[in-house]
Order: sequence, then C-alpha cells, then structure tokens
Amino acid sequence: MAKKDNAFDRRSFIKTLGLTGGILSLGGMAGAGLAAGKNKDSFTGYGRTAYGEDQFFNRKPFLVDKPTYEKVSKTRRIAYVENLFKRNGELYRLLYPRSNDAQKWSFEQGAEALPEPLKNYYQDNPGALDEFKKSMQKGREQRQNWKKYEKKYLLADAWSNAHASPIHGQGAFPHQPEGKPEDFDFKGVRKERLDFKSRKHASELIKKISHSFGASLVGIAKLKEEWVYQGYMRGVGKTDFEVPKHWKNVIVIAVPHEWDSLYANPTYGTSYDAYSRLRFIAGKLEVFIKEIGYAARSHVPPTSYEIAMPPVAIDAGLGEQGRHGVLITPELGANTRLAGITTNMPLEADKPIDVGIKEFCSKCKICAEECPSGAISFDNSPETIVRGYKRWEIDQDKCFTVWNSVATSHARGCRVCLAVCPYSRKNNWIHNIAREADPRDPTGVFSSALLGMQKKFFKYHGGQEYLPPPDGNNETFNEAPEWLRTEEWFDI
Amino acid sequence: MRFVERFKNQLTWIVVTSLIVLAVFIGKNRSEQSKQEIIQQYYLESKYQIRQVNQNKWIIYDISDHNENLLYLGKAYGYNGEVEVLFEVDKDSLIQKTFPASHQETPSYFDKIIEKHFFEQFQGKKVAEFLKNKPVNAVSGATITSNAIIQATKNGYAQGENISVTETKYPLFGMLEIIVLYLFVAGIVMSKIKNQKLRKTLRWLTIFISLIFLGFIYNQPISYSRLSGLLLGNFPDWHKEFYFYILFTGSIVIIFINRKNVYCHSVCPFGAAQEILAKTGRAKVFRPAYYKKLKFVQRFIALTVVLAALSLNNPVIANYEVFSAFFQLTANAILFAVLFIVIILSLFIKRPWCHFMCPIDSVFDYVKLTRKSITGLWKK
Amino acid sequence: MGFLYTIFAISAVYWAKDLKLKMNWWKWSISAVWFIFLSVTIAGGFTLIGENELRAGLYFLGVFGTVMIVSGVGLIQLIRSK
Repeated sequence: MAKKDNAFDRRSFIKTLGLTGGILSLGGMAGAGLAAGKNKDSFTGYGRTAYGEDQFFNRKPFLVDKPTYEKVSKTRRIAYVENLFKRNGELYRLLYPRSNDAQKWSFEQGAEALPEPLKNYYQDNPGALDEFKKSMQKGREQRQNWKKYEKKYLLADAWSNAHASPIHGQGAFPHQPEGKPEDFDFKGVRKERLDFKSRKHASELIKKISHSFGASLVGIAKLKEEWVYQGYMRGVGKTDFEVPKHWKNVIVIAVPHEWDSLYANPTYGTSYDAYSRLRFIAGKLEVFIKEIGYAARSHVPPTSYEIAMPPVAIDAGLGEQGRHGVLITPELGANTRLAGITTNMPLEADKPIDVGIKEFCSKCKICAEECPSGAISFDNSPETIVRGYKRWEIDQDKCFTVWNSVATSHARGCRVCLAVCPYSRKNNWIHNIAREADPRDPTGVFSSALLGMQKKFFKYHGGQEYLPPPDGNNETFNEAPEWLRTEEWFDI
Repeated sequence: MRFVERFKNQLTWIVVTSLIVLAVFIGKNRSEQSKQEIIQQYYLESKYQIRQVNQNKWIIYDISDHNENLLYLGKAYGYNGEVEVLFEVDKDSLIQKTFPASHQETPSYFDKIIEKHFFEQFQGKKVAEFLKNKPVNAVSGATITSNAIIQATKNGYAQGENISVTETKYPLFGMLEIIVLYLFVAGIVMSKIKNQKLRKTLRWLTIFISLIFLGFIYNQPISYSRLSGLLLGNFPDWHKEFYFYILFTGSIVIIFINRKNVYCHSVCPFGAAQEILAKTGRAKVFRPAYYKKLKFVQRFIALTVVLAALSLNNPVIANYEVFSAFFQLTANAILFAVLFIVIILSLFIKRPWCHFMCPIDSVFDYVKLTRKSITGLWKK
Repeated sequence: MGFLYTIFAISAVYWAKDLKLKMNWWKWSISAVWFIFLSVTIAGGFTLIGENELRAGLYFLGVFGTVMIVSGVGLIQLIRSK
C-alpha cells in the first residue's frame, strides 16, 4: 500500500513540477526576449567591437558580377553644383559677401543674374531657387524656435556639439589637403614601398586594420570615374580636373549612428557621432597607408569629398541603393554612414551584392511617407534617369529646407528616413531571421509578410509631425533614450 | 385574435421604419456649414481677400505678398459619404495646397491618409493632370477614401473651369464583382446539392474564398456605416463599386424570394472566419433560455446606433463592427478587445458575433420582418 | 531553461496518461511544434518590447498570441477526437 502511495505522490509531484516548469519556461522566454531586445550588444558597431564576427552578414551567396543599379544612357561625372552644399555655399557668399563688399546678387534678380555654372543649374531646375529662399526663411524661424525648445533638447544638442567638435576649424582631423593631389596624397609616404605578397593579402590586411581603427564595415572597389565630382578640388579650388591616376582603388568604410539616438531623430539624434568616428578612422587609414609606402587621400563627411560615396559603396559590395537615395546595408540598414580613402595600393576589389533591396523598396515606401518634406519619390520602380542611371530621385532642396525647419539648434540634418527604414535594425535574433530569410525567398511572400507586419505593428507618425508646431508636434519615431532627455537629469 | 397580436409584425415594422425615416429627415435638415465658412477657416479674413467666381471656384488674394491664387472646391463619394476637398492653384497652374473641407469617412482611415502624407503629394502637381490620370498614389489600406479625394480634385477643377470630362471607362465587372457573384451563387446552390461530400467541399471552398478575398485582400463586407450613408442618400459610384450593389440588393432580393439570408451564411467574410473558428474548437450551438432577450438587446443597439448616425448626419458613428480590426488591424483599442473576445467565444459557441452582436444581422432581420409583414397581410 | 523544458515534457506524458488522452507519435510532434511556436511568439513579442518598441511588441503578441490560442484549442480538439 505504501509503495503505491509513494508512486502516486512521485507522479503527482512530477506532474505539478512539470506544469510549473512549462509555465516558467514560457516566462523565461519572455525574459530572454526582453533581455535580447535590451541587450546593448545588439547595437551593431557600438555594443559589439568592430571585430564582432556575428554582426557581419554573409554576403557570399549574394555576390553578383554587376551592381544592381541600372545604366540606361550615357553617364558623366557629377558637376559640383549638383552638390547642394556647394551651390548653397556659393549663393550664400553672393548674398552675404565677406568683409565690406556689397551684395553681389539678390533673389529678385532671379537665376538669369547668377554667374555660371549656378545660372545654368537654376535655370534647369526652377523651383530650387525658391526652395533655397524658403530654407533661409525657415532657418531664421529655426533660430527663433530654438529659444522655445532649447531646454528640452539641450542635452541632445550638447552631445551633438561634442561629437562635432573635432570636425571644424583649424585642428580638424584629418587635415584638409593643400595643393594638388599629385603632391599632397604622396606627402609623408614611406620612400620604399612595401610590396604585398598578393592583392588578396593587401585587401585582407587593410580590412583588418580598418576594423582595428573602429570601422564597422569595410569594402574595396575600383574607382569608377563617373563617381568623381567635377569642378572642385580640395587644396586647389574651383577647377575642372582629370581624375588623378593614383586614385585607383577606394577603401570604403562605414559606421552606424548610435542606435537609440537615431530612432529619436530629428531632435535627439545627430550626424556628428558617425561623422567624427569616420574622420578618425579614415584619417588614420590615410596615415597607415602612407606608412607602408602608398599614396592615400581620405574623403570624409560632412563635405570633404571629391567622390560620391554611396555608389562607390555599392560597387564595393557593401549594400544597395534605397528609395531614399542612401546606401542600405544588410547589417546596418540605412543607418550606414560612409567615408572613403582613394589610394594607388594594389587591392583586390570586392564584388557587389544583390539582396533584393530594390524589390523591397518598391513595395515599402515608408521613407517617402515619413519624410517631413515629401522629398522622396513615391514611384513604384526607379524611374528617374540621373546622369545615365535609373534611380528614385530625391529633391535635395526640399530636404534641406526641413534641415532648417526642425527643432534643432541649427541646420544639422533630419535623418528621419534613416530611422524609419525597416532595414535599419539592431542585431538581435528576430531581425537576423528577417535579414537572412528575406533575400533567400524568391517569391517575395516573406518580405511582403514582413512589410505588412512592419506597417501594421509599428506606429508611423507621418512626415508633417516631425516638424515643430504649428506644422507638426516635434515627433520622433521612437521615444528618446533617457540618457538624452534633459529633464531626466537636470533641474530645468 | 386581438388586433395587436394579429398585426404584431406590421406594427413593429411601422414603428421601426418611422423612427428611421424621422432620423433621416432630422439628419438631412441639419444646417450644413456653408462653403464660405469653411473657406474662411483656412483663409483668415485678416490675411486674405476672397472673391467667389462660381459654385466651385474662388479667387484668393494674399494681402501680405499681393499674390493672387485660385481656390477650387471639389466633391466625390468616398466610403461612407461625400468627401469635399479644397485646393489652391497658383499662376503656373500648379497645386499649392490641398486640404479636406468635409468628409464622413471612418476616422481611423482618414487619419491614415493624413499621416501618410497624402495631401502633400498634391503639391506642385499640374492641376490639369487630374483631368486625365492619377498623378498621386492612393494610400494603401484607405484606397476608397484616397480615390475619392483624387476624384474630388478632378471634379472641382472641371466644374470650376467648366470643362467637360469624360469619365474613364471602368470595367463594371472586376475581380471583386466576380468573387461576390460566385459567393452568392454558391450560397444559393449549396442547399440544393444532395451529395454530402460535394456540398461540404463547396461550402469550405466558399468559406475560404470569402475569407481570403472578400475579407483580407479587399476588406469589403457590408458595413453598417455604409448602409447608414445609403439611407442619407450617399450612393457610391456604381461604376467603381458595382460589387456593393450586388452585395446589397442581392441579399435583400434573395431574402424576399427565398427567405434565406445567403449573405450572412455564405458571403460575409467574417462569418466565414467564425465558421473556421467553430470547426477548430468544435463549437456548439448556443441557445439559452434568455435567447430572446439577447436578440432584443442586439437589435435595440443596432437601431439606436443607426438612429444616432442618421439624425446627426454622420454615418461614421454606426461603425462599431470588428471587421476592420480583424482584416486590416485598423481599429481602436476597444474594438480590438471586443474582437479578441469574439474570437475566443467563436471557438466554443457557433457564430457569437453573427447571432448576438452584428448589426447587419439585425438589418437582415428587418428585411425578413418586412417580408413577413407583407405576406402576413394576405394570410387571413 | 533546458531543465524546465525537460521536466515539462516528462510531466506532459504523465498528464496525458492521467487525462486518458490517446496519444501517438504525430500528436506528440504537433503538440511539441505548437509549444515551440508559442515560445517563439512570446520571445519575439518581448524582444520587441525590450527594444523599446512597446506598441509593436503588443501588436505582435496580440496577433500571434491569438493565433496560438486558437490553434491551441484546435489542437486540444484534435487530440481528443482521434
């Protein structure tokens, strides 16, 4: 009798224990999930060290011979006036010359009165000049608005200014070039070149060194001439130039923005955290390459470039072009900020990749819907032909107007499109499943399902809301992290 | 038999119908905000001088920069009723601003359009382009309202400038119409089939097609707000939405001929969803003693809500169904909670929403009542 | 966690016997798969919440959790019937 009782007790013990175990295991799943979500290690490029192996997406199955952008007609180099900052800078100097010179031009005179090549550009792009005028007006309003919102965003602004400090002025690193690239790029190069065992060795070493300097992603490409701006050379000035022969290869480096601040753009995030990191990495690489006997020149943000980085990065197999015009990489999504080093070092170029980003962008359109200025195209497929290539075109001038409209201390960017892009996701298991499965599904059903969940489960405020009142409500995509909220730490 | 007993159906019908007619009368007579008032909301008198040219066109003179633009008002039928749109056009015939003047659309769908930046797409577009094609993209998940706004823009400009436009020929019969017709035919035919296996297959095929197509892909069950809109005289364009007329008239006609509610049984996608849930959970029929009381509550709520919607000339109020929450995940928190409860209940009892909560069920009960009242008259 | 899953699995056998459920290999497989899906659903929803995406996490749990509940009831009926 006793034996039976014992067996019975043991049985019911196991049953209760097991049931509790089952419930606890589900609770454990919840806890593990929470931990995975909060885990700072998932902050690709920040939590993990640059060496973190499992932050890297295996590109091997997706390598292709030709990049996914489509060339449809003759191409040419990019005229420097097609760069918004260059032409805005020129207009600004005409309106407000240094010293006591009289104003050289005014809006009433219109595009006809502008000097070339500005005149040509603005006659071809009517509306851009009005938009620039609007952006200046908005800039004045922005300064007024800052007085209203300063206390709230003070902490985030201080953080941004801190990141910006190594970038401007005389002490900026890397140093601005002086003189011709044929001289400057070779200045400080070791007299005796160290010959690599093979191109492959060269590429591998440069990548390891780049990671050691802090780069999250590295890629190598042969420099295509059409990606080089024409009409302005740092160290020389406004001049047309042939692409220097020693600009053979480009080492492309990428880092992400700090993730939680990115999601709280436009008011809490900044471009300068990524910019200053990139400048240090690129500047150091420039010196390193010279140390081993090769010429090098860094091309770094915010405006110290002779090459346009995203297309070079596509050639280097880092990612593909997105609807919003910036590079999308599998690891970082649109949260990929770029810099490059042109060099004559013989390197093995990487192959470009195809992970189905164009197909996804065709369906998604979230960035177009969320852009506060409506600058991003809603076309289903890349239709606009720019310099011979089909792409989704963005309206640079409208974008810049929003830079001057949001509630930041000065026009230092918006970055909402980067934050809302579904590809911009941290490195945890659920996003990795999506990353790996999406490009492997030939039917596109998986990506449609993911997109459907993205649009239904997440709250998108709508472009207008990111602007300050009365147009919007200073919304941010996600809530700002507590370490950037002034009211959490200070008596204000 | 006493008079009231003998004519119970007819009397009930008269009372309900009178209330509805009265509510429509009250609703239609509500003073509508004049167009002038609406425009002055957006163009303050202190800053703008407004001069009316015709029913659909005004000249807006900006006092501060001496700029003169044109303002147009356009109307078109949306989901629940008329959508009115105001848009400002500059000297180069480019649209500068577009905003809604009035509408009766369901808030969660209209909010979506605002959020998704829809009106911003109009900026900078040549207004004449709207006469020929669709220069902007409809917001996915709110296509009917989006298209109504686009149509309103077209109408406003055409009427303001006295341009006659040929409407693009929409094929009357699209995919949706074919599906709706199939569902009706299958529903009628099903009861006639003797072979059990064939009948079962047809039934499940119909459920599947209704759920996936009429439900998830198109999300077009008959909705109470649309019916209220109909009563207020808001008829959707039968070129573009022929399927709705098939659904509505088809169901009523079949009830009159056959006495069967084919819509609820075979066509409604949410009914299909409940059938699937019932099979999953082996649901049982629920017919308690107080069944009649529950039915009364269901019908009472349906009637009260529609009377409110009609008398306030606001069909949106009638939108208390859980269909959008289920098929589009678009609803407020309360509806989601109700949906969750309905789903769980559907596992254990058959069609709880249909039998105890759905206003459309009450609508068809009213149609059945009409039929009974008429046939009862000549049963001496 | 592995320990919890193991004793849960063992106890499930006893539960099945005591509730007089006629189990066979495929019923066990489907039940196991269901429980795994349930675990993944909960983990996924909470990962989103941990990532500061509260609304997304709740919607995720709401949609997929309901699916799991419905399929769970269906599973019970399936086990009971055959």
